[in-house]
Amino acid sequence: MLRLRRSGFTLAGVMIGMVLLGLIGLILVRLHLAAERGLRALRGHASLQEAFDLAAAFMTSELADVGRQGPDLDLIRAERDALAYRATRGSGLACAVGGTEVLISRERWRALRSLQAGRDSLLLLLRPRAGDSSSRWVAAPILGVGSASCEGRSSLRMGTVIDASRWTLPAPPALVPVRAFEVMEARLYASGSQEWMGARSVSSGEAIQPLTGPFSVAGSGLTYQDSTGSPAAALADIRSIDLRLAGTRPHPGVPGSVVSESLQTRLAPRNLR
Amino acid sequence: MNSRAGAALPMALFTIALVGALAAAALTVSRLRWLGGSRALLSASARLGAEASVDHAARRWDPFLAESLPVGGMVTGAVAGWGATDSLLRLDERLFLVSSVGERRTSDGYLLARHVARELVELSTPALTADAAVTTHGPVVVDPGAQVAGEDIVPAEWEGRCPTPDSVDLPVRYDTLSGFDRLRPVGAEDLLRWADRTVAGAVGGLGPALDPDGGCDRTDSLNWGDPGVPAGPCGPWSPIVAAESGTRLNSGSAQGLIVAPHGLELSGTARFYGVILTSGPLILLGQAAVIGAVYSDSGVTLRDQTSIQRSTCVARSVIARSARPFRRVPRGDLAGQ
Repeated sequence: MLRLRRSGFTLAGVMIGMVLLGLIGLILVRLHLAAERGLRALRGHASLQEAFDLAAAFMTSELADVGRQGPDLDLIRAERDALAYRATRGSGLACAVGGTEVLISRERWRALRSLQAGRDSLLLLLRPRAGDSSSRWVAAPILGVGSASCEGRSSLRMGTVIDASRWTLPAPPALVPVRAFEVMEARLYASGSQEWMGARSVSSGEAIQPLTGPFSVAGSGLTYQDSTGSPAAALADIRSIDLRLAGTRPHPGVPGSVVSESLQTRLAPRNLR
Repeated sequence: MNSRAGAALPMALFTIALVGALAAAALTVSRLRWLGGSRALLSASARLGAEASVDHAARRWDPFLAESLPVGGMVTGAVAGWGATDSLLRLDERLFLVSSVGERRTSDGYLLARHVARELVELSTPALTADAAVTTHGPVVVDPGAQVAGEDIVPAEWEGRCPTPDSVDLPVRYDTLSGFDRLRPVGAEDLLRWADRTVAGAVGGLGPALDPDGGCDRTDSLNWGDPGVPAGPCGPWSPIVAAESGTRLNSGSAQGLIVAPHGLELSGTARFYGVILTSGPLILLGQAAVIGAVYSDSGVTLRDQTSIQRSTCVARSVIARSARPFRRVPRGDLAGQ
């Protein structure tokens, strides 16, 4: 008797296989979607962190040189959501200082950008003609910027006004420390329905420009400490500045949900110590 | 012949290549992270090195070196203990810019990290003027053979030339004598802290000393400069001397600024060029002589053939050389610019 042996799948086997494959596929799709949502959330966090890092780096750089000398302060106004200050735009050594001009050898000058009359001002370290002869930083406007030669070297010429009856104006070969500064304001502000951190040049009358954002600024702000770490009572007491940024953004992958981040950093400018 | 092609070998090769690629990627990522961390550490190390070096230079001021620098002059890497990359630039009579470059390099010289630290340092000088040979609130006793000469002279041994220009500006006049507080902005406590020498009891044989290279040997405790040869190796060396109670200078020649809170005695052939500040009595015996100016709260006594000769030139010279980086200039930290 011939027995015919036929190999193959039964219908039930095929059905079970298909169901199992479907389940595995479903699990894989769900895993993929969850991973994608997680990735989007990570992107949201990273985006907020990047915005905060940019704000912190900007403030660190801008406030690096602020200082004080008696009643003369580089911090001009300190509020929870805004800070006005003198931001250094260049520094060097002047080879000649007169009542109407300052000459700075280019090889002894470092600047972030070209100086602009009206926008930037100078701080010069001079000695008073009377009283305590210790050097003081004297603010003077920049009325014009040009080129000149100082002791045979290519130099910057800055038109200015310095009261020669009050300050001793040294002659070559003496060198005078000079800083160029711009009055700036950094601010947390709302624009439309969004909130930003921005900055503007006060001395040039600029409108605020967004620096980083948007994010919710609830819980964000600036606080100011004195030498003991307590809240500073006056501008002159400020030794360190805490910048706190807290923000939320809509979750990119989950409607109605948000991602939140925060950053707190303490800025202690070396010349405020 | 049995020809059977299998997938095992290609699969094995593929697996090996895949594992190798993954391992290489992991190693690359690790190396990048390690490099990033190393750079951060090296950068911090360079910054700390530069800042510490500037701080060290400002704290351990070398007045001898500073005095020898002309205005606009710079010395680089020549100051022992400051590190090889320090520099000192003299901006004017009293203002200096101290700089230091911190660098970290590989063994073959490749630059890994660099930081520049700069700081302005302003010297403060005692607020004194030599308006008289003797300034005191106490009695002045002068024996017949002794003398106080108020005529302003330049010592004959200085060949009529004053090494310190007249333009050196002393901040505040020492108008009245009511204690060392009048020396502001420099106080007696500052001068005592800055003192290059502290002496007590009898001190004799003062005179210049040279090191084997012919330079001024400032480590010799009896070397208080060479007032006899201003252009010599020890001519510019003018120490601040703290004299403790009972100090008596009895021979030799010296220059400088002596701060004696409890009084001072000069006797024998001691000859001193400079300024003496004392809250106690100042007594001169034998043939002792002072050229410059003396200030005493408790009176001055000159016995035998002693003398005090006023010399603004001498006083100015030692005061100018007594300047120290008393204060750091506000906003004077120029690091990183």
